Amino acid sequence: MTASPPRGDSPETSPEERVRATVRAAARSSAQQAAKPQVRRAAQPTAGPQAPPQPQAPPEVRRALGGDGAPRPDAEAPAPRPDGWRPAERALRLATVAAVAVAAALLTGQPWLLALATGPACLLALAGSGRTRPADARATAEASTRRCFEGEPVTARITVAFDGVSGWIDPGVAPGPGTELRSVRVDGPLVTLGFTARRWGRWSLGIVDLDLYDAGGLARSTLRVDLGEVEVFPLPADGTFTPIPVRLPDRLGEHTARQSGEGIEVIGVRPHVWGERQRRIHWPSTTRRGSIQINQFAAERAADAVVLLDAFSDVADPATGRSSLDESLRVAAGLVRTYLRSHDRVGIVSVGGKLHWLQPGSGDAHFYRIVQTVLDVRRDLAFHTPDLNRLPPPALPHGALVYAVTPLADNRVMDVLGGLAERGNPVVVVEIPIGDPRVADGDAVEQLALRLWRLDREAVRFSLVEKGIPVVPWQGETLDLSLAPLLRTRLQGRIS
Amino acid sequence: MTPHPTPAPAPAPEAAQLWAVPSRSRDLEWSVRLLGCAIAVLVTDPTAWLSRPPIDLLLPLLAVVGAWFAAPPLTARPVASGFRWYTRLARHRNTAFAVGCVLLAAANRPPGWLAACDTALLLTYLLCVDAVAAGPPGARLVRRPLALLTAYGASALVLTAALLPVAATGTWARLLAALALGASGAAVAGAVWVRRDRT
Repeated sequence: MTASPPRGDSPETSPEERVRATVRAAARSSAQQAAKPQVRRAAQPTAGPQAPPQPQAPPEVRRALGGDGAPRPDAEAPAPRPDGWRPAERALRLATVAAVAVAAALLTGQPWLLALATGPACLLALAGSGRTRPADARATAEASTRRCFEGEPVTARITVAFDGVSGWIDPGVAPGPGTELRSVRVDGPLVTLGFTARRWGRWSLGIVDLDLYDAGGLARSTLRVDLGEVEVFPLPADGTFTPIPVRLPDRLGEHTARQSGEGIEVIGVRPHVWGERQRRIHWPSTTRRGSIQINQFAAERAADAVVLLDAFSDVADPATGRSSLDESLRVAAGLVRTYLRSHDRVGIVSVGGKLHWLQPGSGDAHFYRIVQTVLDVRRDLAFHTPDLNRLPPPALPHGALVYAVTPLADNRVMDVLGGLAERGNPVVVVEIPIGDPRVADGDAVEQLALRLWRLDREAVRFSLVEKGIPVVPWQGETLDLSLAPLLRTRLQGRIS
Repeated sequence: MTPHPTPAPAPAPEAAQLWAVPSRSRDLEWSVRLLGCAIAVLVTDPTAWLSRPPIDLLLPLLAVVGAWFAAPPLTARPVASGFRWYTRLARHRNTAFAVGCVLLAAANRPPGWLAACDTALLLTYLLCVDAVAAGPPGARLVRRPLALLTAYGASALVLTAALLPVAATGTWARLLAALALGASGAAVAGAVWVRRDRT
């Protein structure tokens, strides 16, 4: 069942209030369900309003990008330009016109055609005189930052050093696949490029071909500069809820455990033992029972959580075009940040291609370590099923709560989830919606295929529930919408 | 170890605009396009249109159509996007248009005033394309009156010498034109030499 926002919301309510109301509605509806984990259907992507057209890039950006100026994320870097000086377009144009005019004058016997050659020849002679072109040129590039989040600007500055005189520096930029060129500024020998980190990953910031022209603009030499790599971190999904497993490790934390301890939550009373603090005496029970009774408090423990990232496949939503892998890592980063804020230990394991893992840890810096561990998953896509038994025990602690962030688009992840359930870890599947395939309205066969496809996905969810693994959908706004149903009870694995 | 060259000095603030990147200005594009169309009409010798068969009027029409597409200055970076002939032709379409105008002019024998118009307009077109597409060096050239005077003056000198009615056969005219061309070259070389000494 998909949680729906309560009716009667006035349009003036703020988005936060609407989200809270939706979370409350989801929690209420989940409380009415049976005790066993629920199968939740992925939210169907809705065809929202058309995105406004992108503003046209400035002319200097379009010129630097080449072609029609449109960004091409999948384009390869341009081939290296020939070394040394070569004629510029201007020299070729003037020389060609002058040569053709002279040849035409000689062939046709019309002397006035020599006048057509005189002007270009004069321009060539005036432009090619005097100044010495640079014989030695070098360029150094530096970026304002090598680590940033999605959507943040990155500025690269290229300083060109050369001897002689250069009349013009013309940059051509091939941005990396995860970056977008936003501005180009040339101030003499200083070229400043403004990028925007568009997509998470470890990307090349770009390759710049600097065309150095001589003073007259008749010859040019190309200098290639590699801007280096930049690590773009995903924007974590927002969330505050931290469901916990039944058994918590024996480590101080913020979650109330079932064992008695030194927390602040009263779980009962017991007879007084000599030496205990009088401040903890529970007087109503003492007067009722005739002997001194002491308040008993619950222990507060930290949880161990491991995020399992499914990188087996990267599926584009047919309606929105969103990448499932992009959304998966944003959700995973949101889960990591939420648990780290409550001082729990969080680890990560990414399956699909090369197996990346990081054992659970805590602290703000651990968030960046976790994300850096999985930034390369897109490069390492492969076609074999990983063996989680080869993971060292600290990477997947016994009893740790495992969040599997997956679009459920690859059957290999089912083997992985089954293996996790058999190990006894409590597992929660956060399903990343991938949308329905596009079908023609009037095509009965395609409609039938779509129905079968939906039934197949329902069967996948049902099989997970049968294994004791709850499936919650990622609904795109906040993690609380997905995790609220899990707060009803503590999560338990097969061996708890 | 080769010593690292010193950084080039930054341009003065008033010269900063000279480092501007060529941009595609709509007004300038239309101006140069109209100029190209005018050249395409004039090099087909409109004074002889009435004396030609109607089928020959197709040539000026094709020239104008070609000018419409090829005359606007190309402001894209000079990077080869393909190796097919039409891709290369599109990349060098300004040059192809100017060469085509020269060839069309050579195919006719225009009167003197029309030859002067052809010469002046073609040189103006080349200067406009340089100013728009060749970056700061081309833009700087337009701001140097002496250079403009030299180019237009040399062309006028050669044209005058070529059109002088020295002999009925025209042989002397060619010789005079060649001498005028040499004299123009010498004058330009002298101007260049003087400028180099000053700098």
